[in-house]
Amino acid sequence: MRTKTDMLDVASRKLAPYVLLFGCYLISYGHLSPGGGFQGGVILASGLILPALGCRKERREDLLSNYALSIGETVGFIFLFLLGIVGIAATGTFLADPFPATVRPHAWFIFFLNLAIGLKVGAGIGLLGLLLIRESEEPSYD
Amino acid sequence: MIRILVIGLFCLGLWGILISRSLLRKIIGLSILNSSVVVLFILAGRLDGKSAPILSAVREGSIVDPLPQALMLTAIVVSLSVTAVGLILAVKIYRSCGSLDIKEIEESPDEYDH
Amino acid sequence: MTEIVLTTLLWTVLITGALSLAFRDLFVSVILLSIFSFLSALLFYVSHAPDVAITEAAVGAGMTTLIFVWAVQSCAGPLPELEDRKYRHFKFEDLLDLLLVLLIGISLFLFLPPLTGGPVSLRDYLLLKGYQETGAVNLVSAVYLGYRAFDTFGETIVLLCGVTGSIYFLSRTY
Repeated sequence: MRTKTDMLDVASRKLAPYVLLFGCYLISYGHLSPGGGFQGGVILASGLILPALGCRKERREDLLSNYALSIGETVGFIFLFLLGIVGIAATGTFLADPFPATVRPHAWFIFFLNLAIGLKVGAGIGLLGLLLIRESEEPSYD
Repeated sequence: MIRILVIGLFCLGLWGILISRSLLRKIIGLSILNSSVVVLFILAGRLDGKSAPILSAVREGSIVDPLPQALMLTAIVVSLSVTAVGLILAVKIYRSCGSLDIKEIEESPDEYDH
Repeated sequence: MTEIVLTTLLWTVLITGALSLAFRDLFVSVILLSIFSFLSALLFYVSHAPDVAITEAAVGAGMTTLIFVWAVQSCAGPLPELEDRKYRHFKFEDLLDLLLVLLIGISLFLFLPPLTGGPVSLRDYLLLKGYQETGAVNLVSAVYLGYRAFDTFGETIVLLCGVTGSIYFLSRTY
């Protein structure tokens, strides 16, 4: 875009927290209603890309820098891997449910899996979108 | 009838890939191809049941099979990855060869400018 | 009744896909692809698949459209002239392409297994035991995070490789 007005900047920045909240809701309630890690993760990425589309290029890394998103994606993947190792330590199978089935079934393991996947997918796709926006404003070819 | 339409969607995506001259339009055809397979699996699961596979919302007799839906979640994410990598490669080809037309890319000279 | 609704939605999806490939302006094709994704998300919702509908709407009408619009904007050049002048010549290779697609279509029509009447024992087992064994009320989450979590792990690896590859190809120096 050639001119990014202040109105576009303010409107996109004010709408982004609701999109991020909806993404977090989809991730945490994934075992009770339609949703889950992937759906919530992609909506988190949309919430990260929306303010970046409206603001000027000096302010794009004000909330989360590209390095922080890269660290977030790595941490998410390592967390998912560690959950698998916990499954091996408890029952001997990768990614098996380590909590024994008590009187009422609970969904702690699925909840943590959803968190890990949501963090990883959101950070990864958000990073890709932010790099595309940077590429379109400062092209790298010469 | 539904079977014919889904096969028609698959053939539309395949024909779009084969006949297009521009690289971006081939990738549009690839995306349509991926979506047609997802539509096939979901419709095959749907025609056997009557309500969504969420236990708090089961109203009538049988639910829809949840296994094709779980497989198709993976398929949609893989389709996104393929489209993203393909599009970025297409833009790289455009920047090095100067055009998106398949015939001109095949005839352009090899240049390595590392 | 539901057959009519599904068939109508499927016709609109097919027509939108055909229009997306038919227009000469690439930007119009990309926006029609976004409408195609949204209409298939609607089709998934009517087919009692809300998880897949949310995923298709967020991924297809959101992320894929973003990357397509970026790609079309980066390749802005003398493209409409190219599509206009060289597109109309119908050569012999186009006839071979059409024959190949017709052959694949007819063989799919003859050999694709029927969409209804498959085995239902897995669905009945999941309805009985799915909540007790995994704790998830959403049975699709029980399947892809409980019984088949390996596939989800593999999908996460595929997405990681895709995002890493895309960022690598976008970087300035190799």
